[in-house]
Amino acid sequence: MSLPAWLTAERYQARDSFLHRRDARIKLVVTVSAAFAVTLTPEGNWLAFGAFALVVGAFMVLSRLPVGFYLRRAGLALPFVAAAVPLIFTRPGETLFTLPLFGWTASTAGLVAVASIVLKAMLAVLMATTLVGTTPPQALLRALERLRVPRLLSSTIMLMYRYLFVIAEEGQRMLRARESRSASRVNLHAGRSVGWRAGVLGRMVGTLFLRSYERSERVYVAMAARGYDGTIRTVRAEHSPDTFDWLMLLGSLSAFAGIVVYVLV
Amino acid sequence: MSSSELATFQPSVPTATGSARVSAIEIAGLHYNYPDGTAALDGIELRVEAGERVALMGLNGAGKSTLLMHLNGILRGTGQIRILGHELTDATVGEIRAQVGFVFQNPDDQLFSPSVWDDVAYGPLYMGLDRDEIERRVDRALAAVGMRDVADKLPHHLSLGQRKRVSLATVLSMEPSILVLDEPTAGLDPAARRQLIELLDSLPQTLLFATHDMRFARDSATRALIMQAGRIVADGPVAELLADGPTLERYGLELP
Ligand SMILES: Nc1ncnc2c1ncn2[C@@H]1O[C@H](COP(=O)(O)OP(=O)(O)O)[C@@H](O)[C@H]1O
Ligand SMILES: [Mg+2]
Repeated sequence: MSLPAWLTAERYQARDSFLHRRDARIKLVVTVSAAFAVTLTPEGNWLAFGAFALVVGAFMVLSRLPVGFYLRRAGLALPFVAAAVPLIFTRPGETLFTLPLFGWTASTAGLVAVASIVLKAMLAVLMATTLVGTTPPQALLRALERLRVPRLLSSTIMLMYRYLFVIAEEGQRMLRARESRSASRVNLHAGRSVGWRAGVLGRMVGTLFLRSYERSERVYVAMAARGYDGTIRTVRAEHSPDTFDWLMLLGSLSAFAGIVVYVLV
Repeated sequence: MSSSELATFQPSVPTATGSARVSAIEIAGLHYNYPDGTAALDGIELRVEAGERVALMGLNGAGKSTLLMHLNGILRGTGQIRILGHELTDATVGEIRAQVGFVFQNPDDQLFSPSVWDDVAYGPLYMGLDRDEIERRVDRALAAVGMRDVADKLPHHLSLGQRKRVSLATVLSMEPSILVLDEPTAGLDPAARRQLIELLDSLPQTLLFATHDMRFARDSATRALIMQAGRIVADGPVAELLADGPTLERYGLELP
């Protein structure tokens, strides 16, 4: 039993492209700067958003990742972005239209705000997707460490990545076991009530939490027994940035800085 | 295997005159590929009569678990499966699950509730039985496997032998007519293994179990099947099949 293949980016990380070959630290810095620069851009600056879109688009092309991968990842972010939609009605401003039935009025300022938030979120998600799709998690975690992100944080992320799949698969097996014993009899109402089924699911989540918690204690003891002291060590050959890496870093940072300065001044 | 050897392992198809009662399990042309493309079942043909006790053998990866998981519709391949004469479809899968009790190899895959009692009661509760009937069934199932005194415990705090027996109780409480078990004795110490085998021997159900435990197959089954690469490659009375050294050797099996 395994997780749906589209959830993991492993088969994309194994590809090859200009971006796949770049140093993970450089990619991480570029991605984080892009997210900051896009966030700093005030609402309604369409020209600036257009410029960011061009840069992000260029990275997407360089990654040679399939459009479907980007669309699925962007789709995952949509529900969170949707949380911004009520702003249309709450921002005061020139009336755009009134919702029949409810009588809520939408404002132009509200629309600008929502459109900007959606754009910013999508640009950031596409950048992050490019990073994740072109960099294996081990390289990314090593990059975090070498960029001196606090150890506690980087090792927590590493262990989370390692056990996320274990726990998700455990959850899937529990669901399969439940399905296997969800039987019906002629003339009997199967499944009792929604409330009862919700209760069962709730207790399953509790059981999964308990099992994971106990597993974490066993894992910790096993790691401590082998000398774990909070550092994840590696003896793999370390990457060092080449000319292309530095060029990409300089190019992207100046582009982002240029756009932000242009907008703010 | 030469054709004459093959002939001795043909399934015992009931004669036309004696086939008024329905078979417990009938499978025809069953194929299954995992999402990653692995062809795990490649044309399974099988008929098991009510009351038979069938051991399914074969090396790791032969497709035993995959085949067993088709019998109550956990996996759905192409081909036809009939349980007690009813074709397994979306419409019948609920009722078929009431007839086919499936016990996963790993009890941690079987047990999902916070207490042993809740887990054993899940099947009867879901079916919509009334309170008295549920309590009677849970009690009987736990008594049958000798696990009444752990009813309030957390399932994952029990020993493997205890968890295996509780797993069996979770399907016994549904009172199925067919029991399907995936490697029931795997990983057990000799005492726990002995207890589980005695328990299985005492059950009246039609039994189909995957196993690598040849002594268990010899002592508890009446018929044996060998699988290889998603097909059933040998089928016959357990005494004959286990006495056939060359065939066992061909499929990588050996007697204890
Ligand atoms: N979830 C899965 N995804 C992909 N392939 C699988 C999965 N489960 C089993 N397989 C493959 O299917 C084949 C049959 O496996 P299985 O039925 O578990 O064999 P057995 O129980 O006889 O050891 C093997 O080649 C195995 O690697
Ligand atoms: Mg198996």
